[in-house]
Amino acid sequence: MVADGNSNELKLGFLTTIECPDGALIGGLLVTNHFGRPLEFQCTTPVKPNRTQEVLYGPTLVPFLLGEVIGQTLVEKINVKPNLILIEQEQAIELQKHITIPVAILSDLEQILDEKDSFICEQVGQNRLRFDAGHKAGRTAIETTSKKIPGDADLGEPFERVREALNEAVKMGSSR
Amino acid sequence: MEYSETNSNSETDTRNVSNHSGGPHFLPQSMAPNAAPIAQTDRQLLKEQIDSDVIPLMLSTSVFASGMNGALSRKFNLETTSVELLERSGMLPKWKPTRPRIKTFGMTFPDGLEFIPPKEENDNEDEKTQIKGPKVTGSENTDSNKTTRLRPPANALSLEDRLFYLLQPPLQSWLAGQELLLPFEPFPYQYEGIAWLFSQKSALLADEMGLGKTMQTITGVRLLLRSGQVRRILLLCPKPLIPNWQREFKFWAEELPVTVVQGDSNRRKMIWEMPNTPILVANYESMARDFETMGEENIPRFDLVVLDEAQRIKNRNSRTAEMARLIPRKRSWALTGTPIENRHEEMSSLFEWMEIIPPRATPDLRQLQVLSKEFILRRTKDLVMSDLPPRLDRPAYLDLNPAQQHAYETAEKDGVIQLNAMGDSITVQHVFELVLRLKQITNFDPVTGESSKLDRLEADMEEIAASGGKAILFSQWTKPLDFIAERLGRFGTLVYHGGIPTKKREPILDQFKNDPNSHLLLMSYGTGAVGLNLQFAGYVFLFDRWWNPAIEDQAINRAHRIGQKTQVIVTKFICNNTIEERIDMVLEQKRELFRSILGEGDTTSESRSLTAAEIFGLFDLKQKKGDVTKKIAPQVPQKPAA
Repeated sequence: MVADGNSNELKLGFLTTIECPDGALIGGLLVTNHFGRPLEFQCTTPVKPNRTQEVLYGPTLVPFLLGEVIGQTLVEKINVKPNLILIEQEQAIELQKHITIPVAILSDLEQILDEKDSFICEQVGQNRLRFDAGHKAGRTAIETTSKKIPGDADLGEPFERVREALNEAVKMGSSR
Repeated sequence: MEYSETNSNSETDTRNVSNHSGGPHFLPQSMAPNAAPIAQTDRQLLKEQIDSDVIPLMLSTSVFASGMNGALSRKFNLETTSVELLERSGMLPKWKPTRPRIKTFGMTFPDGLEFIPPKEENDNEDEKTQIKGPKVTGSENTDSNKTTRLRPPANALSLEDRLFYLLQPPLQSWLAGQELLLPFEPFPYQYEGIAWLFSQKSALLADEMGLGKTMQTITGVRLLLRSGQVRRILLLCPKPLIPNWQREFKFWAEELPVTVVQGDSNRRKMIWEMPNTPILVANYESMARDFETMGEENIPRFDLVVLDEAQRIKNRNSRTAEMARLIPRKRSWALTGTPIENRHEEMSSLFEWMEIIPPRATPDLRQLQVLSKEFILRRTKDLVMSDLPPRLDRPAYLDLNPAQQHAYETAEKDGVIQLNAMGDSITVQHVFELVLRLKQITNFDPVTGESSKLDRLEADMEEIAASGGKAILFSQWTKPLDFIAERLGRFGTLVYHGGIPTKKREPILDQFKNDPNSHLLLMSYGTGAVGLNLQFAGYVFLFDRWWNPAIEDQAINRAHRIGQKTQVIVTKFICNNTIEERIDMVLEQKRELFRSILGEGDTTSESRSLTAAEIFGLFDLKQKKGDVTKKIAPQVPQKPAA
């Protein structure tokens, strides 16, 4: 039996990437229930852009890699579809253009001060989430999330788990 | 400047070309037919430049009349036509922004078992807040934000196994009352213990008594069940502790259904085979009996087997140990406060059950130390509970009453004479019988019932009862307990020993806890020493000494454990100039024996029970053969090297 969570249960996706020692990026997506208990985890093999991509994408290379290459692949692969995907890297918001599941950035205080009009900020648990103002489903998802998540929940914590898991994957990959 | 020169040259060339007469232009013009003669001035200039006279060629350079000459001077007639290219023009290599395909690795987590949540006594959501437990103010709990993460065990080699542990939430948030409610917040070392148990396939939790092995085990079991790691668990414990485990499960994990294997053999068989029983609790005896009857191939499978008071299988040849090893299981946890009672070989039996050494293996002391580091978690009160109220040991050295003194001397004298007379046929059993008889006399004079211990106890109890305190008294025998209960009935004295039917035991403990007029609980070491929580009692009396101080410590720790708010005063009665003094001395000398295995800083738990040699040594037994006097005693074993 596999955990897919109750269909009514709120499921959150935590997407982040780390950089390998050789500069390649490796991304992971952890889907948890609203208590933070893991339901599914997907990670990529290391992704390294080639020279052509580096030249032609220029400054848009990282958003392309984080959002489209890594983010979209992982969201497509994951079986337990989350209601909301949380990211911690600003540039990964590119993902929102490629998927229908709402994406929100976990913001810290400085980012809030630097807020653009096209984004809305909401307090959920101990954290603030920033999401695209134009994304209607995003508003609904975040409202549901904030209702179900207790006030003392730390939405930043699962990212630590993902990073640790990715580091472990890199370590095990390099030792093979 | 250079440009203009070049330009003028090219003009000259153009001019020359335009004047070209049609002859080969590599010939000097002067030699060409109809060529204009070189002007004299030019000739002079040339001479100056090359410092030489022109040497006239003496052969004709006219073009051979081939008929082509006219064609050579005619203008070319150029015509252009377009030709189709073989391929279309374009940029190669072609590039289009595409999303590169990347490989992924994924894992899903097993679905945990869902249990019907216990009925809320109060439906008001606001009231459903976590009850904060005892806060430790000691150094180990200063960082309240510290989280305990599950670590993959050393033997988890696959990425999937390792990620399973790494991706679990920190225990603090898992147990923080969101998903799993806990009645009290665990201490930091308990979180560590739970995390350790959770990730161990083979574990020996050897925390000192009173540090909450039960709670850590129950919470570990709960998390394993809730995360889908285990579905069927067997917990084996000594029979008297079954109600205690039931109570603790209800307290710490109310939603988990616990089924006790009890009743006649048919009923027990039915329970063993019953599906959907996540937690079975059984006593060692019925487990050994039932599994033996079932036969090896029919023993039910378990995901986890927990042995409480695991020293019960210290003898690897015992039937209990053999049957326990036969149980098919994925995880093996053993719990004991005293992993070694007598010899370090006892650890081997536990390790064999835990399947970390091959059958019949006999690891030496050094190997045991290595295994201990990986598979044993042991914390002592000194290390983790710096602010647990102190335990004050107060040996009470008493003189025997005259009647007791007389009875004692007579018995000892007769006994020793009798033993000496037996010579080589003497066995440890004979000496043991004498020791028991003498110990009984130090408790009570068999004829008059006089007892210096009882007198002292009575005096102490007056004081304790007056201050509203509660005391527990331990004795090796049940008879003195009944006698004391009769004499000290006015203190609301209750009796709890093996002779009391199991069903009546729980109400006795409840009464002792809740009845303000009940000040004294009399217990036998065998029944009351393990697993019970009596931390509301501030006084412990050891009416007589047990053979094994580890058992004494277990007994004392019923009161001196987590939750105890005041110091615990332990009074050990020792009668002067009697066998008790000698036993006490021998036992104390054994304190150092097993320290090397379990580590430093542990002074309370090593077992120091008497060996045959030491029991013989309690008396000066000699056999006289002719003129030679030979000491009667087996060889005292060498202490293991540290």
